Amino acid sequence: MVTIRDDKTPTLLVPDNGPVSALSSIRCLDWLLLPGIPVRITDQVADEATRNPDLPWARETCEWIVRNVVAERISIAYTDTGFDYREQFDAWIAGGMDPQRRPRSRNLGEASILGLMRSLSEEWQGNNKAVVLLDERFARKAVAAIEANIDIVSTRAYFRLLTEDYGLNDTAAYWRLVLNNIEDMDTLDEVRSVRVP
Amino acid sequence: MSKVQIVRGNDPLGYDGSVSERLRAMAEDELAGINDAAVEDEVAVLRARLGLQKKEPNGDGHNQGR
Repeated sequence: MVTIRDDKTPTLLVPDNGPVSALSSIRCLDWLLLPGIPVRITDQVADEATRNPDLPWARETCEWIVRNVVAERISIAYTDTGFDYREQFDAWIAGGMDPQRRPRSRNLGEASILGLMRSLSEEWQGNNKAVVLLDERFARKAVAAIEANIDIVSTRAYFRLLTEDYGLNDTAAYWRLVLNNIEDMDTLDEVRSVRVP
Repeated sequence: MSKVQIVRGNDPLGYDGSVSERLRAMAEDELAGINDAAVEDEVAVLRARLGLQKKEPNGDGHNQGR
């Protein structure tokens, strides 16, 4: 593969919960900031990563997102999917939280990526470029079809770059730690806890 | 939890399933060195986009354990 170095500063776009969960599980979310480029995560990713307060790292993830949004180190990419889900979720809470009527959230991360495609193709042109951190197979295929200044990179590649270029320890140690810590995540997509005000 | 079969299609680094299933598969692939060439291709792209110089192997046990 031939790659051409250029002088455009990319944005690291995170529309997939995989990288955030991997880094959260080993308490290394700051690694998203190591390359020193702007970071944008989608509202749906932020929501999924922080929705379940029972996850060992959900509270820290929430605090990390808030702290870095305030410090303008990261920004949130708002999507129609995320907006609609928040509206449904708020209405469900206001309506008494009947478990049978709980809004479905499965695969909304992928849906938000599809919703993001139009803005990706419009925004990332000319001197604007983005590195999209993405592991979900269908989303990678969909984003790859967009004609824009974007490159898709997996969490594996991102970890590998950090260890090779930013002086971290060996990649295998981090993945072993992820493997150990995700034992508690088996029901991530099914468990939906509600923080009652 | 039962092991989930990851359907790769024509994307060696694309993963299916819930987040935990995907992370588990990614970790196992990384530790087993599966699809390393595809990972290195993406590292090269990322390195180019970030304006980083390619690292040469240093033979000091770098990335040992993979």
